[in-house]
Amino acid sequence: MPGQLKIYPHMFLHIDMDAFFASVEQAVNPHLKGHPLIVGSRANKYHTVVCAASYEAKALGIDSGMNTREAFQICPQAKFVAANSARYIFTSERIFELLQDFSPNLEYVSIDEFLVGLEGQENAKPLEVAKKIKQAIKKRFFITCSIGIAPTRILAKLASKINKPDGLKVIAPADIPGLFEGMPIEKLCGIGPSLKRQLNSLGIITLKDLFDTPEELLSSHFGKVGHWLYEAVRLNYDLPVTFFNTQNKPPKSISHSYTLARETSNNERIFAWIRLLSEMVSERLRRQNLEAKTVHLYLLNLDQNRGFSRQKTFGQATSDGYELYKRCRLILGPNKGINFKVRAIGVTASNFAPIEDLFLFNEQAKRYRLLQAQDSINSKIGEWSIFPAQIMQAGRK
Amino acid sequence: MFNPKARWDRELPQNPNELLDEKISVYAFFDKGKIIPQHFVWKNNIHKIKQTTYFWQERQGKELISFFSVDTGSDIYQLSFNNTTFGWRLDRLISSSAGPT
Repeated sequence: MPGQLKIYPHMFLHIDMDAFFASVEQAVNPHLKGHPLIVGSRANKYHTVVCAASYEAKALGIDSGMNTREAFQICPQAKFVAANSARYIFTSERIFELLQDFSPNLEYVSIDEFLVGLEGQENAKPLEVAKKIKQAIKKRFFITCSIGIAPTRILAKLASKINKPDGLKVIAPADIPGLFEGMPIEKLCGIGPSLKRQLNSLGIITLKDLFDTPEELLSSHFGKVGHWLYEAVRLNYDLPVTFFNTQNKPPKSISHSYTLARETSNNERIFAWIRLLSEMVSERLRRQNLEAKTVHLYLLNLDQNRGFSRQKTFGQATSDGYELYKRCRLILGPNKGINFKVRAIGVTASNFAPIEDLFLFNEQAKRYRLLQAQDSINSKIGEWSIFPAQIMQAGRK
Repeated sequence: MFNPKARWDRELPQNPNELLDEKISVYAFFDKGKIIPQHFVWKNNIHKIKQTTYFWQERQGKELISFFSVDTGSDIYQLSFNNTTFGWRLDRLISSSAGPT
């Protein structure tokens, strides 16, 4: 029934760093503060994508994922820096450590988002905790965050987006559905462009429209998703939470992707990149003692909206980069080349099983020992100190 | 020579003049687990550090490298300290007095 809400006994704090990469770069170089700033995924400023934009750049319409050429057309005087992942990873990990002082119930949502649960901390006042977190982050890292507080993690995430940047918003059950008035449905976590289009076609534009839509109508159009939408806006459904102290499940998939500086149809080079990404995926598989049966490959031409995306499950699981590469080639089609210009490449492994080091054939055992030796050298001297020669082709123009 | 690690060395500046990569002497306090650089000597000049604007670390194989972006008042530089060799390097000029790079 519309309007019925379940009262939750605890609150979630969703911490969303404000324009994280750009804010870190502005802290590193204070001369960049107050300027439209583009953080590119690569140093070549006209041949890369925007991986973060400062609020000054966002105000002009520049946002993540945009081609930098397009971004500089919007704002030719924008400042540019290349992303430095080590800085962001280090900062993100230190923020996560800092949050442990506030609650043991933490989830690493992404590199720039964290979830704090106040379950079991009856005396903790969510608003006070949030203010202290904001102060601590600003004092130590010279950057700001926005925090959303709500009885479910879905709404806490929504709340964190409301008063950005440096925002703080509490959503109490009594605020609903009034708060949803005029709020576009895509603000709710889980509603992507495709679902938004479908909901809009039914006249559901705002979260208030969604709240007022009968469950039967949503379920008849969207099945289980419709039921989820109906319950989520009533606080009766939440995304599962995996707090850090209970987090020991293996990942569902491991993937790596790369956007080339320029599109290419040079098959040798594309295959070399597939090999490099396969080796990166396999190294992470071995580090987690996992093997994968399913391999997914995608090749995209971003400008022409053309591409190839397919996955295949094999009988035998593997954690060998060469084997993953060979499987990618099989997915493409045996002896088949690529006849379109490729800009982005991605390799994903899934359907995991633990590595079994019992081998039927001596060759397999030798190969396994070789990979162990390669991992051991790379972990001692530095990643990619030793790598398959085929990968050299990836560096060719 | 191409090295796949270059994929992550995205901070390499477009302008090669910004890349310094020189061994230098740094006067620093090591206090309660913190490294606080005070000034560094480069090209026979002493550059006093007014402020460390940011600090981060990166593990490179077995070595842990501590990075510092430091403001000398006119310029911002990146220094690094190798926790294994105890050596300091002047990595790059982040921003010059002429304004942001």
